[in-house]
Amino acid sequence: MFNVQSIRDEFPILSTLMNDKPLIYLDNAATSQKPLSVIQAVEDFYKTSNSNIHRGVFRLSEQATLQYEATRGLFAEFISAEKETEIVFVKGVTEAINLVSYGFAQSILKEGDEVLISEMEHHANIVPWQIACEQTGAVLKVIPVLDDGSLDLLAFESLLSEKTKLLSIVHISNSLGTINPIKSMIDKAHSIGVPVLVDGAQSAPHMEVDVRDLDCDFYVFSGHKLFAPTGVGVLYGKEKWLEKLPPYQSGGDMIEKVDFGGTTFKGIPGKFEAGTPNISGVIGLSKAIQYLQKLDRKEAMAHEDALLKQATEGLNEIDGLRLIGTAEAKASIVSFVFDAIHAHDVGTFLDAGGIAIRTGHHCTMPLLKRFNVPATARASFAFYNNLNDVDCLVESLKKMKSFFYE
Amino acid sequence: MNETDLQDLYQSVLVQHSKSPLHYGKLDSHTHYSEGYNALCGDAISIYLSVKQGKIEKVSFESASCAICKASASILLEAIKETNEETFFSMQDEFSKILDGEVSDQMGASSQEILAFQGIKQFPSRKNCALLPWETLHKALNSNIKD
Ligand SMILES: Cc1ncc(COP(=O)(O)O)c(C=O)c1O
Repeated sequence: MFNVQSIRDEFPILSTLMNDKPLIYLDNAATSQKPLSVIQAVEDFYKTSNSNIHRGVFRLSEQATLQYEATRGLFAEFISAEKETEIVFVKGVTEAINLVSYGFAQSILKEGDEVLISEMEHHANIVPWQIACEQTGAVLKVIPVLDDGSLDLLAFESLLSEKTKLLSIVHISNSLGTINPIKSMIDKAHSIGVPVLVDGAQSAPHMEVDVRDLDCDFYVFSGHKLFAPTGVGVLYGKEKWLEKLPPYQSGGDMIEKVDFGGTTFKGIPGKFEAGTPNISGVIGLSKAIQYLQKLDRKEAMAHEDALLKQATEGLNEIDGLRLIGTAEAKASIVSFVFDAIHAHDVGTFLDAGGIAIRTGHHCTMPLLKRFNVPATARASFAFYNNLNDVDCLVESLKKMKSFFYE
Repeated sequence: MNETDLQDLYQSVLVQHSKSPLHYGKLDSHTHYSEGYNALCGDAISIYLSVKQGKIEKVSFESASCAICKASASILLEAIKETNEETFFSMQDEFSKILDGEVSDQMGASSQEILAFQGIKQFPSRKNCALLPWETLHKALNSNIKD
């Protein structure tokens, strides 16, 4: 049996009070909480191992370098990458996509080429491509979203063509919870030679990911949504693609030799890692991944599915509440609106009861425009949430209705 | 923060204004116009004014926004209708003091309804919701379409 209580005990913040009530944290899609092992690893690093990496000849620096580099193999194993040189450390998904879009703008995209994304992308997977297209004369094409919040797969097939130079697609929508059928989309794209980037910001925390089975060309995720510190994330890229793309930033650490006559860069992944990296963040992320490896992830996912089911049923019982995103394949994220109460007022009311949800456009403005709503309220669950959290959410929403209507 | 604070925030005047706002809709002819956005929560508001010889003769707004923002717009427009820019600026000063909790009932604000916003000081993240109509109206006064 999946023991939620013993898991909750490992996340110190879950036993704090918020507005004098026990905190009910339902904003996991924005960022996750951290287990004690991660918090302690970061603290220990600063207490006992702190020094810069790839530089000092002294023992402390060697140890830090070893500790840092040892994580690359772990991350490769975590997503079943073939080689650890295919793992690039970045700040997070935003930086990872910027790195790839910069490289595509520099050395791949030409006028008339196309980049294919979808209407449900996070701004992090829209704006970098808009800029890359502006710089190169390429055209951004957008797969529409159907009323239930799933992708229009027929439109996808007709938008995909020889002009497409990249399909960049979110695995799980942070606003709707929709799980996209990326494996079959990748197959279709590859059948005409189109590479695929998968935005795994929401999928890495929810499910086991095997990049070799998916056969995606790039997979990106952020540590802070994966129970690790902020400011660290991973870009996985197939070796042939990382070889092809130019460095994104330059300076120290990414070079082999600097000379005013010309500079040579490190090979992959070093050529993408300019400057002193987030060393403690990488170490924190490695602890988070070790934590997840000890968890039965299939059970964790089943538990999240049970939370989703209970939340969906509970919310559907509330008059005047409309769910946005009702696709068949969904992760534990529920977005909703009320006829007569704005999402922001919903958020404030719940907060007074210690319940933290997100309200607004969730960095997906085009998607909300598609659904004709200015904002939604969104509750997103992690495996450490329990059924009581769901019940409190539903009960508070019922109370809120009488607060505003009576 | 608790239920009482919530009641302070959503005083019945505010809830009333947000449910049936005054001056809601477009003006057929306006001399001043502006739009305002709160990127954090997705609130959007448009303000229309008809200003003749320094006098704000007609006012209206449209918005897709939360209760606080809507009530603020409704109360603001009712208060500045048939006044002038100077009145607006002095009320704007007063309003920011109210939001910071620096004005009490005894100080006699120009509009009793504006005092209903005192409850916001417990909710710092909601201050921008109340301010958005004021900032947008300020921008509208500077827009000067055909005055
Ligand atoms: C689907 C998706 N993509 C991209 C991002 C951006 O991630 P980060 O802010 O960690 O770079 C997020 C985070 O909100 C997300 O949910």
